[in-house]
Amino acid sequence: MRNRVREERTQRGISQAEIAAALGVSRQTVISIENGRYSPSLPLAFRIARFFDSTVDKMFDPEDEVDP
Amino acid sequence: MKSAKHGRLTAPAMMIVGGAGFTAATAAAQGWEAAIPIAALAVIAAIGYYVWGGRDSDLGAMLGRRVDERQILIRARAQSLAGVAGAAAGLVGYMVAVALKDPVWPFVLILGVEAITFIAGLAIYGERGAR
Repeated sequence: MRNRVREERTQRGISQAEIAAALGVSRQTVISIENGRYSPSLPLAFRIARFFDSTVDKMFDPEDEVDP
Repeated sequence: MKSAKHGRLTAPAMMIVGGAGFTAATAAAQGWEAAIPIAALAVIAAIGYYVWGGRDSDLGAMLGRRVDERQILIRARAQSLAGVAGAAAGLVGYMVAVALKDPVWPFVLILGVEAITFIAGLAIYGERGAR
């Protein structure tokens, strides 16, 4: 699943470690989400969206889902 | 991410306790010369586990008991793979035992446990249908 996490994060100048700590996940999970290798659970997707003052449908694009 | 302040210490502490038990049992049965290597191994394993559990990696998070949802999924997949490999090894062992006319019960036991736990897993984790 494509997402705007890396784009939003870099725009705000936040490190992967910082967003990982804020979301309560590991840095490796943030990397996996940014690379589209891991689709977060719905609760985590909402936390990500709230973190960036956005919405889930703006942050994640299921239309561009890639094969796992 | 599951946070357990002392979670990282739990497994190493259990290793030390278990190692002390094995060491005492070995010392009682075979003397201290045989027991000292067991004690040393337990201490090294516990230290290694603790150090590895502090690393910034998926394995470190699992050993340090601070896994997040993706790492829980990875662990479940790895455990599933280990279960499949165990069943395959049990099946191969069964066939070899039959061919060699050796006792097959250990392999029947392994395969039986695999089958029963799989069915139990479906019953425990599966959805039972709409009510």
